Amino acid sequence: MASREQLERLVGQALLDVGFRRRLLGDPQGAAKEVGAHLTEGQLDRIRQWDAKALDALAGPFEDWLAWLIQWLISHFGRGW
Amino acid sequence: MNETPFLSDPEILVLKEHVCAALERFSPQLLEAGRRLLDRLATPNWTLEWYLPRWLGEAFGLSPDLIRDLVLSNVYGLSCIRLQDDLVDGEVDRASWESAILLASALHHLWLSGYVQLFAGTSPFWGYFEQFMGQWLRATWRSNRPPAVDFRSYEEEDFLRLAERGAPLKVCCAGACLLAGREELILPLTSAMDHFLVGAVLLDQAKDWADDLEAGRYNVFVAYASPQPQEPDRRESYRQAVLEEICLGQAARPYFDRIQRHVRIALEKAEAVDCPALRQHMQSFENQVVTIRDRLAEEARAWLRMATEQLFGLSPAEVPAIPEEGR
Repeated sequence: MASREQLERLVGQALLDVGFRRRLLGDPQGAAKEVGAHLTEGQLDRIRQWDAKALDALAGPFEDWLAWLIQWLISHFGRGW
Repeated sequence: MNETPFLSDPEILVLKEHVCAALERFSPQLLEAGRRLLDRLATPNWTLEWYLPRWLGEAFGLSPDLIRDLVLSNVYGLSCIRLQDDLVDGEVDRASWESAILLASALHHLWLSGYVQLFAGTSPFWGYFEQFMGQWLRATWRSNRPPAVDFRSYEEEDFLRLAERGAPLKVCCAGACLLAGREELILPLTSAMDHFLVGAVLLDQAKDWADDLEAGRYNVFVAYASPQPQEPDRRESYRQAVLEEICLGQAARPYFDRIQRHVRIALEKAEAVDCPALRQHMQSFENQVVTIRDRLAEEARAWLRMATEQLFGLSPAEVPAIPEEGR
């Protein structure tokens, strides 16, 4: 059973890497293996319910948010050096 | 230090008027461009440029007149350097080249005139001036070119080389020490500034990574996340490497730890100079870096946790707030 940390890694990789995202949707267990995880039937069922377009639509804003985050943190907390 | 109200600080306003009056005497056509430049520089990120000579002068017990002359010279010099940096970095649009080049020339003249009043031609000051300007010239020449060494193979001297673009700031350090008759403090003080500037440059690079990548400029933070040479046609893979490092890697902790390390060295070296305001500024910077480092890891992790809970239908854990602007 994949741990919460492994699932987070799986989701992060799927959001940041379009190739991995495609592999995960096509062969969830095979893709999970790439990040050292083994999925349960319940976890596999969840992934099978994912909508590829919805996941793609989540990935873009996630990337933009991450890129923005570091800039925002430095502007917000890093004043006056 | 975070709260310095630059735009309303009476000392800054007086300095700005001094500079504008000098520019108007020198060349009235440049006054408006000069005002715009000073407004751009009157921000907290230019704290050291405006305040360092004052802090040092006060710590050394220099007279108010000498301190004002040191501060003014520093403002002339660093404004001139800023303009030249902008020109070299391609950040001045073509229509503004003429005024930028002429304004830089006027400021350079005022910069040197200020120091000529303070130091005789035989003073060791001029040797330091040449040394620091040489560092800046070399650093500016190579600044937008990829270094020969990969970030992961950086030695101490490679990090210190990053600081050289800020070398003109050390001119006022040498000036203050010499005016106070404390030449023995120049080496520890300028070495402290070198390490502090390494930290400042590294943090600047982390802030600018996406813009630099987009513009095709070499960026140290990108080099930290992706060891490959930075080539324009591989921007997407570098972007992915940075995002993976933030989200799935170490959230750039080793990078921020490196900044903290240099600031700590700066603090140690600055102990030789009993200058409380400088020490406070460096400590404040270190605190900022630690906060940024920790918040970056927390925020990225929290978002990922939230997305995972939604996608896998897990029960939600305690999720820290994400800044509103990032949603």
